Amino acid sequence: MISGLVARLRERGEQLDAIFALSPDGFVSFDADRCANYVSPAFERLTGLAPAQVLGLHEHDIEARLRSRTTTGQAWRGFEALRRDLAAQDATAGADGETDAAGGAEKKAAKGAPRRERIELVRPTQRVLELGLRTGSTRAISQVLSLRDVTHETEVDRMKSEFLSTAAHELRTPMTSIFGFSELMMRRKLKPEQQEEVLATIHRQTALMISIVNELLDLARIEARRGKDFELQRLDLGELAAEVMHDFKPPQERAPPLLLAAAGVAPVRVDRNKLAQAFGNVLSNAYKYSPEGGDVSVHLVQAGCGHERQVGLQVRDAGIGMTPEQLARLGERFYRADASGTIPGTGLGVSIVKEIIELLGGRLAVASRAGQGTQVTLWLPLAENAEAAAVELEMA
Amino acid sequence: MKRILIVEDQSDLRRLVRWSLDEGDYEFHEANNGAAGLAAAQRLRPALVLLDVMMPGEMDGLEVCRRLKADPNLGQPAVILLSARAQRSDREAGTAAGADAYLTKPFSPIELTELAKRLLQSAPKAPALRERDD
Repeated sequence: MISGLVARLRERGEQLDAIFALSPDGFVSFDADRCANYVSPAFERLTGLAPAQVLGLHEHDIEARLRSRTTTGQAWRGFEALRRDLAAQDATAGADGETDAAGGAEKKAAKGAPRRERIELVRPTQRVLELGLRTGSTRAISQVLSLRDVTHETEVDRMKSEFLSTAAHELRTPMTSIFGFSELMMRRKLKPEQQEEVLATIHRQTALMISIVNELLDLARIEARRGKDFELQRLDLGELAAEVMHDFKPPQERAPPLLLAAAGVAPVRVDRNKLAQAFGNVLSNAYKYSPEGGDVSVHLVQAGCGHERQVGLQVRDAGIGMTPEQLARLGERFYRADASGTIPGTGLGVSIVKEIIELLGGRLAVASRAGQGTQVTLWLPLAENAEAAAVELEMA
Repeated sequence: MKRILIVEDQSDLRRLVRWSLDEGDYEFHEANNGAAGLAAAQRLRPALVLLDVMMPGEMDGLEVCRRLKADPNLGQPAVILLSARAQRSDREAGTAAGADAYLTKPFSPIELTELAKRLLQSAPKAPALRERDD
């Protein structure tokens, strides 16, 4: 009888240990004297404090040890503050519950939930933790401190708001032209030739705003769906390239791009429209960033062997090129390699190309030299089939 | 004739500023980055400098402003900062750099004209070009 009970208790203990060992969140429970009587494995992983360093310690000491690992700017307020918050929360939840019957259930659910507070650790690594406290009423457990790693969420939040403020800033530039020039038109007597120039500027800057907004939406859509809306089909990369180039209109009546080395077949599994969009962006950049002219050529290239075999659509221009520093920043949202401010663009085109190619299982490779030109390659895996093994591509 | 220097990387915006102020009797000069703007100011000693805050290159508008105000040979030109950054901390950074005014983009050309007039009334006349040229 007793041995059965012991066995069941042991089993239960092992179960709990396994659950806590697997939990990504850390826990410390405290006895009636507010000394730690249990430390979960995740707590050590998150804080670098081993159970042996923590077990038996009073909450004051644990507080001090955690604080010594936080950034000085955002010190943790401590257990006492968390308990005060909890008490205040309970009081308001209780008061509301009496007057507001409909919201009562929700409030009650919120009542037991711990208030969370974020702290930033600098040791053992840079980490943002969310702390919560629950109070218990048993002799064995007076309170439980829980820790959740929110480093990733915090970083994503930061990047989102940074992106938003950059986007807003990028829209302000064309808005400044549109707002200012239209005000000049209304309030000043401008010469006829000035009026024409004003209208042309307003039109050009509005077009820029439209492309920024469209490309922002494109990027958001691509990122949200992560390729789930891609309609994959088998097609020949060379044929697709020829089609896109046929429809492509070079700016300022420049010579159309030359397709070189289209011999052989290069079957790939891609979304036709998305790949055409990416290729179109690269072609249009090749012209924009070679304002002095020069040929723009397209090559079908290959690399690797066996299952690693890749085909690439390569676009070369003889334009302004990029310095190594500029090249390193390529693909950053809103980054423009044109310091003169004369080449139009949103700084989003390459980001879109990169997203599309990576979602198609390929990669974007760019080689460039300042003053000499740029070579952009959209690498894609060859569609796996018997035919693919027999493909012989002529190198450019 | 008072000399005005416009330092801004976007050519459309340089023209916007020039046309906004075109009613007065001014002589305009332009630069498209911070370093070129500072060099032009040292050569031209303008009465007023319109300065974009964020420009490509090593020197942003705030740095140019600090140097303009610190150089005793420049005769303290009036500086209007133009910036797409609209937060209070950005404004304060402008004031700390010694700017006389801070306009956020988009700005009103009429307002800019009024502001420029006001600042130029209290500014000293432009000295002759290349006084020590020999």
